[in-house]
Amino acid sequence: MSGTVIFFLVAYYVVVLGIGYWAMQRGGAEDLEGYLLGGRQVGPMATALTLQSTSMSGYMFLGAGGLGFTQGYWAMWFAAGDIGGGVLNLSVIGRRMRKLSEMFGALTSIEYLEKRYPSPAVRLFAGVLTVFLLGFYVLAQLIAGGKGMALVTGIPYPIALAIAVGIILLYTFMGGYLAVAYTDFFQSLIMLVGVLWIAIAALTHLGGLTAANQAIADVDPTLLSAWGRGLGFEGQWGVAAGAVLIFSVGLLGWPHVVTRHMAMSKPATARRAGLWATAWNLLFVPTPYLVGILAILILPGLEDPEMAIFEVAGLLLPAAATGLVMAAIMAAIMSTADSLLLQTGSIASRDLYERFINPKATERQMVMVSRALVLAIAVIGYVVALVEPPTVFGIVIFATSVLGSAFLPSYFCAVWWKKANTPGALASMVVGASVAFFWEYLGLVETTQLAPMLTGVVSSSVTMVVVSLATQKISPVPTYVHEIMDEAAVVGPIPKRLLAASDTSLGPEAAAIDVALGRGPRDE
Amino acid sequence: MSDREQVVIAHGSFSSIEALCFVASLTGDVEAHVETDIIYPYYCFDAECSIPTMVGRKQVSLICLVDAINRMGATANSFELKNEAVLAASLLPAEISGRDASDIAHRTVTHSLSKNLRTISSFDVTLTPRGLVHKRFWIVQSSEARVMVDSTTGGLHPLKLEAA
Repeated sequence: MSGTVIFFLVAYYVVVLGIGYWAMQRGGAEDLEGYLLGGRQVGPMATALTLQSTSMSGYMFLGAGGLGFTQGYWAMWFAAGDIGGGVLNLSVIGRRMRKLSEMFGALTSIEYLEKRYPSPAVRLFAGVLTVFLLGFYVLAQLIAGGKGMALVTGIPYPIALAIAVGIILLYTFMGGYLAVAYTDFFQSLIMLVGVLWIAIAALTHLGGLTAANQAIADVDPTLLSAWGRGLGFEGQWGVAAGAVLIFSVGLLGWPHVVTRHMAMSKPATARRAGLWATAWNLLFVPTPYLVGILAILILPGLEDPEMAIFEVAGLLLPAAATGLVMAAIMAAIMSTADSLLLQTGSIASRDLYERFINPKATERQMVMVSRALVLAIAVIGYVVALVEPPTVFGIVIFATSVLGSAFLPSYFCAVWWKKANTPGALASMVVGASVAFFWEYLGLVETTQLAPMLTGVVSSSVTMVVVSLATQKISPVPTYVHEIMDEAAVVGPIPKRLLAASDTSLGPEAAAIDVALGRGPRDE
Repeated sequence: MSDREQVVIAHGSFSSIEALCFVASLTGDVEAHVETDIIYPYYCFDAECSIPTMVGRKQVSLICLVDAINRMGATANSFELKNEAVLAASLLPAEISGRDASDIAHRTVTHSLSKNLRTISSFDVTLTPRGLVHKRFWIVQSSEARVMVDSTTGGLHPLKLEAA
């Protein structure tokens, strides 16, 4: 990489830091208060783009490009699921999740599960599993950051990795307040512009998509098929279904994505956010896969397929543009890692340490627990990423499969099925996580031609239904849960304009006032 | 026994007439009318927070309200308070103690800081209780729905959600 690239990369960060510094100096406490008082006031566009940028980033720039490079158009199965994932996520559970979490008084996604399925075991299992898998997911971001840093700066990978890990830690421990001036919303726009720029440059270089496809056919016609290089996945519909499911329904089970639903300004926001998410997805999601496919022609001797997008950008974009795009990619990776670490630390301190180990923990003690866990993840992640680095693609698929299989039925039924009870949810989480984990670990996908995501979600869903129905008598769903779900679900003849104008943050007050006015009982 | 009680109440900028007009304009129901008002209790806390920033730690003042019935906390904009004698029948009683409310407020403020600032950091939060404060909700009955309107913000919510 040229000095110009590094110059613009550094300049990008200097400008961003400068904006943050200026904002703090100028606005000071008043601006901060305004920002903090935003509370749940997140609009549809920001909700959608924040959701998308958090759930993608590192994977999209390394994993997606690498898959396109190695398997050709087979990679588009993943893109297909991903394009619909955002809108599916927001429409299926987003709107009601926002409302129910407020009515249950839950601040975190794991706490929400415990309130809906009242049992400490639910919180314990969900918390431990999430900490483990999100830690794993962070590993992907560390590797992505290290690889990107090595390419951009030209310094050896071990040192680049250490720098990337250090920056991410610093950002998480001390730099979170940069979010004031430097949000996921901004990141998502830069990511979109960056990846489209690379794609347009690649297509221009190759004389357009038709010419590129003809050239790929000359290299290996099977790369143009839906079944991968050498038709390696031909007829494996179970694997294809898993590829579609992983980023569509799989996304519904990610606790850090579910958290976003709890921060929307009103449930109706989910509807409009869905439109924004789909528009963003249509433009963004297929593009990294496509760039990876085009890299087959542009960089035929590429050693590390996961570097396809970085290398194409470095080769085809002007140095200044490459610097900016690289910076945007790195910032996106850091932003995701930061969100994941914060979520992991929060679950470890609040949902596990305070809840089960030290109920009287002070805030300072909980911060220490969070930081200790984040440090441990960073150290372990550094060693693993250095000694035997798995592919970013492999990590993301593994973590998403297990998370989705474990939590999808529990989150889905928490808002849509009143008979879903605690034993059902617990059994569903254990079975879903175990099936997906061992399916992947034992390599059963080779022999069964069924993806872990598919078998995991099917088994956890069946378990949820069977166990919930079988245990209705010994473990009935509490009355207050029924009432809250009824209130969230009933649809009647209230005029649409009235509904659209409703401030759902007043829901709890409305419930209490209803009782006072004698319109219905309230369960304590 | 007096049928009125003296309470501290948040100054409402939305009168009953404005609440009625608002609901009527949304429902198109010219026969809508204000049925009553409800005085809702919150525990109010002033929170002084020390926040790490790029230019050193900054002191930030927040207000935290804790719903004295539903145990839910939220940070809030500043508002004016006044003493007012209200009908006892309109006044909802607090159902949680001040101590519980303080715990909820502390948790609410630290969670809000951590989430919004996206950082794992130690925030020194000092809470000063201001006691119970109340907010008036206008209850408007229209032919199609019963609606409550927040007298301080103008926010509305249908009662016993017959639609969501």
